[in-house]
Amino acid sequence: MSITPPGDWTSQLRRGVLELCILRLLRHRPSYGYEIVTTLDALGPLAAGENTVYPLLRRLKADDYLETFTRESPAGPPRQYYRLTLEGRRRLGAIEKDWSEMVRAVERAVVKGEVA
Amino acid sequence: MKQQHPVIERYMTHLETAIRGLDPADRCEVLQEIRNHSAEATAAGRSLDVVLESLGPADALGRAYAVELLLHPQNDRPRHAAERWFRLVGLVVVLSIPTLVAVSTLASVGISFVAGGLFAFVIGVLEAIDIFPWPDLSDVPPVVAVLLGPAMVLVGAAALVALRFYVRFVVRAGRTALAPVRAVGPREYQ
Repeated sequence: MSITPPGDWTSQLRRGVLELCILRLLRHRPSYGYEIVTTLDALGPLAAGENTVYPLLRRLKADDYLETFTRESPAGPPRQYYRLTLEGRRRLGAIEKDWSEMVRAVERAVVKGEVA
Repeated sequence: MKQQHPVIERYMTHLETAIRGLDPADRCEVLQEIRNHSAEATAAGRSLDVVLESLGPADALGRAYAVELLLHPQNDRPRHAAERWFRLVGLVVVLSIPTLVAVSTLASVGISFVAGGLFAFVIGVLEAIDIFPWPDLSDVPPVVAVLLGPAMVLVGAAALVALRFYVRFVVRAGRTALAPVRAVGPREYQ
């Protein structure tokens, strides 16, 4: 039987919660790709890398959870901003509910494990 | 489009090849986004090597886009231009009469109430302090006009705000109906 390395487990976990984190980041204000990547990068374990975040942003847009618009940048080319759509807000609400239930379930499982 | 460093341009050429299976509109936005990323990152002081290393090989990045977009449930049912126009025509048919009613009602109520309210308030104040140069135009007591004016302005402003929301809703619905095709089927990546 092969043993999954811890790094791979972290990567799978991060991938699952990344959508939630991106939707949460965009809940109150629009943001552009580089800003989203660097914000996640500063959050340690959530640093997913550009080759994960940018394709995911594109899929969230394809799923109509995000929409884009262009705004001039103080320096450099115009930035492509992402913002939540109405469908994205609904999706965020649903994921947050699932996430809370998951966290509670994991906590219960951990407590049971400690008691046993 | 402004040319960047030759190394970035070479990377972009490889990426363009790697995402050739995507819809042209998506492809264009992807290339622009990665181009912007490299410009932002180098402007922030990161070296080209670091920027390219964190992006990963162009082939791998292209595959990551393909995987994400092929997971999209609508990819097995690509939306053609004709379908998008059909959706727009449907939207026009459905929304034309409500739009006519909503825009004409809200605009006329909004403008007339705001203007009328301001007029009533000013006339009421002038009559109240008795410097109105003409005889009374109506039997309405000045205090009623002074109170009624701001209320009318509020109603008018609410109608104009509602009109703004409605116009934004219609514009957004139109954009959604005309939204471009996303990605194409998996065969492109085999």
